Amino acid sequence: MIEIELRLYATLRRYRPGTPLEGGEVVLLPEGSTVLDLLAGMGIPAPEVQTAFVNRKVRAMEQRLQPGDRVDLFPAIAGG
Amino acid sequence: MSGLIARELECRAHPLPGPGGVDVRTISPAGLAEVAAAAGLSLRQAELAAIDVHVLPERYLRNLGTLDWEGQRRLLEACVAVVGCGGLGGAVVEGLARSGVGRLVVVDGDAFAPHNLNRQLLGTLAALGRPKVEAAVERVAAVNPAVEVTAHAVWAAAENLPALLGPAAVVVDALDTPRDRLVLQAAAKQRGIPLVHGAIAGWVGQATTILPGDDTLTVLYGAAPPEHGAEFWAGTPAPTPMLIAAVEVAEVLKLLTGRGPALRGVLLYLDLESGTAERLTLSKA
Repeated sequence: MIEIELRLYATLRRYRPGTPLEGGEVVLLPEGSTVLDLLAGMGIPAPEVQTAFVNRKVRAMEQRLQPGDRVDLFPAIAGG
Repeated sequence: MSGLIARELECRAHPLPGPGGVDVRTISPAGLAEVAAAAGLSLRQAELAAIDVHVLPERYLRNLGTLDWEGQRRLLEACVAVVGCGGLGGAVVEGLARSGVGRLVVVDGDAFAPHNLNRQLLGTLAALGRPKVEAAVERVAAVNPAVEVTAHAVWAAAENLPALLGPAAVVVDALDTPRDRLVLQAAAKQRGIPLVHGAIAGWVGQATTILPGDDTLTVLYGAAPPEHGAEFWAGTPAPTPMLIAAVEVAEVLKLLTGRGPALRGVLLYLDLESGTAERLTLSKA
């Protein structure tokens, strides 16, 4: 298993109620997991995640995660 | 410029303390209007003529220190297009006009509805049912009549946008759907000008600056963008459009004055619920 840090933003937060507003939560994943695997494991619908950042850089949903990675997930934001 | 105009400007100049308490020769809005009328100049031309003889239009005195004389001149000579005149666009127009950006092109096919009143600076009871761009023209005339506004009361689309952007050196994305924003990115790219993006949903907002060819919004929204974003559920309350419009105005001022943008390839994400800011890299490399 590997340990990563997950941060959800805006409307995605409702999938992890009770998580503090500031900072992330530590998640345990099987080795070789991708961002998509992380979403499936957390019960977050992939279509709601518009942008994924790994260690603050935009990455594809198929990106394999490494121990200690920080994953920031955002919905689309488009209001004006 | 004729020596006569220079003398008319200089004889109306009065010293006021500027940055660090050092006196700056300034001219009041009324003094400038007199010179412009007497010389047959537009207000914008009169302001440029004043800067030429080192007399600062007093309305820009508090820009000094952040902007310099040359920066103020560049703003007055510049044209910026603001596409969308709602929550973001209204506040962007306000900021650019007060800063002294000399020419604005405003584009919006919409008219004001009561549900705009929670956040849209240009929306008033008197403006309900009227085109948003008309309110923009009136607001700029009331705040800074030296700013020349070209208004297009049409919906931005791939077919009309490149021409609508006119002589703009920078374009501001103040739209409200992912698809329209990608259309605007393509138009800005076609015209070869920078695009300053801002978007909001609920307590959060984001901004980034796209130089021609960067295609950052395609990274952000995907090549097949969703119909709408999180604002569909979270709404668009007052604080976030004001906040993100401020970021957009700052990026435009830096682009126009040669400082360069702070947010190229970077997503600045501001969350007013948690009071946090994130800087995230949007370039794929």
